[in-house]
Amino acid sequence: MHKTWLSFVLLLAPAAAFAHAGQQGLVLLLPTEIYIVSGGLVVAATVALAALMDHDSLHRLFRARPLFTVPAPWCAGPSLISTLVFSACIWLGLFGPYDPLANLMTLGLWTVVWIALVVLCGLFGNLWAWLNPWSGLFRLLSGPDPTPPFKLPDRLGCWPAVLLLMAFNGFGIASVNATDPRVLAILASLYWMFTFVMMMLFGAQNWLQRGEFLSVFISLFAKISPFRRDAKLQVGTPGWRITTAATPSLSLAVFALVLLGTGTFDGLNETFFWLVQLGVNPLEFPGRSAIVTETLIGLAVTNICLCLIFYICVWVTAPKGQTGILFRRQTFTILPIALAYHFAHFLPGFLVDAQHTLVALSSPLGQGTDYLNLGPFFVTTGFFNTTATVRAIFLSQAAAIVIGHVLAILLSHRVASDYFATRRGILISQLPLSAFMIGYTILGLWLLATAKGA
Amino acid sequence: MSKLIKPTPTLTRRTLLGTAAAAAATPLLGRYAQAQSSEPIRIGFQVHRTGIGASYGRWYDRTTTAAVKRINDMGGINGRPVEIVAEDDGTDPKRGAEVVEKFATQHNCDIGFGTLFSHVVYGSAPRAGELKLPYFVVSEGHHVASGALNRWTMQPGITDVKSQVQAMAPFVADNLGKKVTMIYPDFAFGHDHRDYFSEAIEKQGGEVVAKIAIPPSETSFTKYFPKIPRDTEVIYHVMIGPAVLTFVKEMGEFFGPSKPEIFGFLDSLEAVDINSPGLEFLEGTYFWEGNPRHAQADQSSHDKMYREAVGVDENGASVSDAKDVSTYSHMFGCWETLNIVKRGMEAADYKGIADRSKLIEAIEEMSDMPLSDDHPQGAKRFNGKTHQTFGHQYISKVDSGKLVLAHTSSIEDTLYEDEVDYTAQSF
Repeated sequence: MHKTWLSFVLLLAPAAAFAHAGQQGLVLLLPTEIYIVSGGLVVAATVALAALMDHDSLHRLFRARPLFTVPAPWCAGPSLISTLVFSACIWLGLFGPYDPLANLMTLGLWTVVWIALVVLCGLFGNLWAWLNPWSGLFRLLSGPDPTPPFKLPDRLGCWPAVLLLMAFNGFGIASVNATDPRVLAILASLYWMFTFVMMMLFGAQNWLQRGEFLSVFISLFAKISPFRRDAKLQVGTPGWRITTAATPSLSLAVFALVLLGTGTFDGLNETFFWLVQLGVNPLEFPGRSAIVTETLIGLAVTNICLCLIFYICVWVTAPKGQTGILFRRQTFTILPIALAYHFAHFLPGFLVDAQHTLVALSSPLGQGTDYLNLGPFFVTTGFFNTTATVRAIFLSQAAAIVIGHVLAILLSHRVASDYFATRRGILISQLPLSAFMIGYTILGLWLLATAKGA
Repeated sequence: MSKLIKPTPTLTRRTLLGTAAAAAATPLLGRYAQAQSSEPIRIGFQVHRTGIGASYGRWYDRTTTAAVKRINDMGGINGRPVEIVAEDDGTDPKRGAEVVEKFATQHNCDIGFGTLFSHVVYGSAPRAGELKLPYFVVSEGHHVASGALNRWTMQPGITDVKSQVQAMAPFVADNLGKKVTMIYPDFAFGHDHRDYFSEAIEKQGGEVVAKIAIPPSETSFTKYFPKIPRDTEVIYHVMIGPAVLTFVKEMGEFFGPSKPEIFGFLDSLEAVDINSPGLEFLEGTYFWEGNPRHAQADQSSHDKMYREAVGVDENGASVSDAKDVSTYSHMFGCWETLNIVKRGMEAADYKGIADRSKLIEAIEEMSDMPLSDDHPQGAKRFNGKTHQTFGHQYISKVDSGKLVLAHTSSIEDTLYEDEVDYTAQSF
């Protein structure tokens, strides 16, 4: 039935076709092959540099320095404000404009939280721990440290968060309703209630660290931040917190890989390459609803393949009996790549949707109010139309990808230095992972540069 | 931008409905007070907000906003304000059908309007027919006139691709050459161009000397250019997608300074700055345009008014960003369609959803529509039987980085035999 309908559309529909050149057309005219090769060479050079570094220099590179004492933040306040803002967004989602680009429910989730806040947390630390819409209210109702009635079984690890992350990603990438304000408001409020109940049942910190996928997600990206607030504010090379992090559980390790796998697939599934594999004409994309199953399968397969390849890369050179622990620790070293993919993938969309967010903030009900005094404001995409701006956007994305991989290479060598006594040992142990990361750099840059049709 | 376009920003539908006394005392509403009901006419705007059509959707939205503002400023329709209820269809046919259903069953819309991409029209129109919702598409597709849709679906504000292609042939044969090589993507869109144009150019005494079909996934084209026969006088290209700039650049490199005449459809470069690097080769070539992007020396007062209302400058870009090029060849269709809906509702004395079939019948009665502020793109001739409008087509030459009008086709050049009579179908 599905195929028949698709054939009908393909046969009859395309009397007019509008796939247009735009930004990707200009990207195709850039010397992207040179950028891709250069990026690969930079990462390869980092491998060589890391090979020259001994234990001391690797440890020194990721050693943090205490700066000054900072007061503990007022935990409940920002979160309570966040709960109010979240409630307002839910209300707007249910009763505000139907247009997703005029509704702060959609824009708040996909533009403010999913892009801006996530990247900010990767740069500055776990702001979400203060800003999540649960912990303030929970503290207000239950006190600072209540004993939960139930214990979340240890064997569950972070698997609830992994499952919720995959469900969220599947919805976000495959569903044609992923930006519908009404749908989002219903799902977000259900998820809010579910999370709050789970916090009451199993304890706030326990659930936020093991079940609530957004908190787990952001706490991992926050490990890339150069900053950490302990007794004093500590600053180090970005990623230093990964080197001091406790060995993650298998579930948390898989969570980290799923972040990267999903980011990769999110780029891949728009490309001509992928559409051709699905038998879809890339100049005549039939809409997301026509390929929901294929998208979900592609997402799952990408993540499974990434986990397997990563495991093999570690297993090949791991000392006997240490494959598991090395695998789990090394998965955190790819977090900078995952953050880079996140930034690179969403940057162009953010540049447009941030403008829509501004307009929506000025007129939350979409009725022409102008609280921010913007005056006549037309959202523009003019920066997708000139080579200079398209090149600047592309190079920002590419730089993020390369920096992410450079950090990942250095981190993986640093982590390996905890298990291999000699420089030679580290070097040999890291050859498979280094090859993987050089390849992944090229893949990441190719995803940015290749033709897209969806 | 504001979606719920109302006569005053602070009014909600509830206040409009519920407090007649207050409404009468409100100056802006007073304008609508002569009507029996001041309840807004609700137009469901099916907009490609997300998905592959988003860059068109943004301009369709802007044009629709401007058109409704003008209609409301002139007193609305039948004394009632017009309210736009915009729903994103994700440029997806399944979602499109859901949106149409929401217009009819949840949002209490009088009509559905605004769909561009053909596959979304195909996905949505049957549902509009089932729900008896007048559905006005702004798509350019031949789907309406071909008879594939239904009596509730109309395309009164924009011409279809069949008439556009056919109207190019006389100019090409008379001015550019009679031996044509066609380069087109190898799927139905390209095949339509190939078939419609081949037939039309033969009627003009010309011939298509080569048909070069390019696989849709191709992103480099150099290997195809040697297939162009040496006696080619005109190249007709309709490449689309992200690789179109590469296509033009590589064609320029292949020919160097001695190129044949070249003719293309601006669909390839809609919303793209004609002065983009790599497009220098287009200098001196010709394009079909649905509506001349650059304001011409003899610009009509109607085009001037329309540009100002939508916020488009003389180069077809946003007044707030000269690099933000509009979809000027298509978006006028939203403006004109809404004005036709207004006239149709006035002719039918439309009072509510019970009069939906009267609205369809009133528009089916329409025929010639003169160039005016309601029709700034040019005069139209609507065919009530096929539910398709016909109008002038424009051919422009790229001259010093501007699209300068070289030819305006007559409406007669665009006509073809009726393929359906929707008026014979029952409601």
